[in-house]
Amino acid sequence: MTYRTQIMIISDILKAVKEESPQGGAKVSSLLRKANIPYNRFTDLTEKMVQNGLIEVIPQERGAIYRLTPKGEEFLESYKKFEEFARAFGLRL
Amino acid sequence: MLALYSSLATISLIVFIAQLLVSLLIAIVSIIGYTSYRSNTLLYLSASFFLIALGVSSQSIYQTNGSAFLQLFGAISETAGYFILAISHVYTVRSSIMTPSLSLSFALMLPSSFLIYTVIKSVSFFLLLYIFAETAIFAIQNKSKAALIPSAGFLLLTFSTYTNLFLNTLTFNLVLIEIAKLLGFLILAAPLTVFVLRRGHKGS
Repeated sequence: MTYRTQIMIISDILKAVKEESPQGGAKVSSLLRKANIPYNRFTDLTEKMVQNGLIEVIPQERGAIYRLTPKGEEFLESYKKFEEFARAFGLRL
Repeated sequence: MLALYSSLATISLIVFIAQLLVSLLIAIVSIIGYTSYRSNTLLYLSASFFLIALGVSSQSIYQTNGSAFLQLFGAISETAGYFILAISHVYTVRSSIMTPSLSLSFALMLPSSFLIYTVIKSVSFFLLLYIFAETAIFAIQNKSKAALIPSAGFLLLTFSTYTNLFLNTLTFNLVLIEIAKLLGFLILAAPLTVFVLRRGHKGS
């Protein structure tokens, strides 16, 4: 298991949210599992991501779901390009 | 013979321009990525290619004015660039088979001469070999075709440095060295296509 930086965890959350987009949004339990982080870390990060306009929270009857904003989509696409660029040199972002 | 040396000078100029452009482009793209994502990997990549660009520039100026200081400074800068690139593999990938690949590099690093320049170039050779090994291992372990292409570039640069160190007595070899260097740097530009080919692309 390699060490993940904060930006890597954020990108993992964004990727997980994007994966769940066809279902209308991502639930917390699914994101925790896919991003592989503890709940308290998740709430801290998602709060920052919402403040920065990367994701939006849609309140539901039970809990909430997360959706990717256009800014989040743009961030993720740009991140993937740099990730691929670094990987081409045999490096991880 | 004069015509041969003249064409060699032209090839060297083309190689220098290609090296400078590719190194600067990689360094600039990396620094843009670093400012956006604060990724240490991109910072190392940027520092590495800026130093390589500085090194090749100094060594190219040396060819015109013959300053030994510039030659040495260029060789040190270029080697420092390869060192940062090599060390970034240790910090970011933490390859479990780093020791065998390092041993292989040391085994192939042959003593050449007492000149500091040659010693520095020998270190460059060792570092390039290590970078090639790490990139190839990463490509194989992660089944990444994208990483295989630059590893071929690093292999060509390793070959060019090795030939330059030990077999540069013939004019034919000098042409071969320059061509290998040119191809190596052009191949290293391949990862930049991700920003050109996928510009404006959303989704996937």
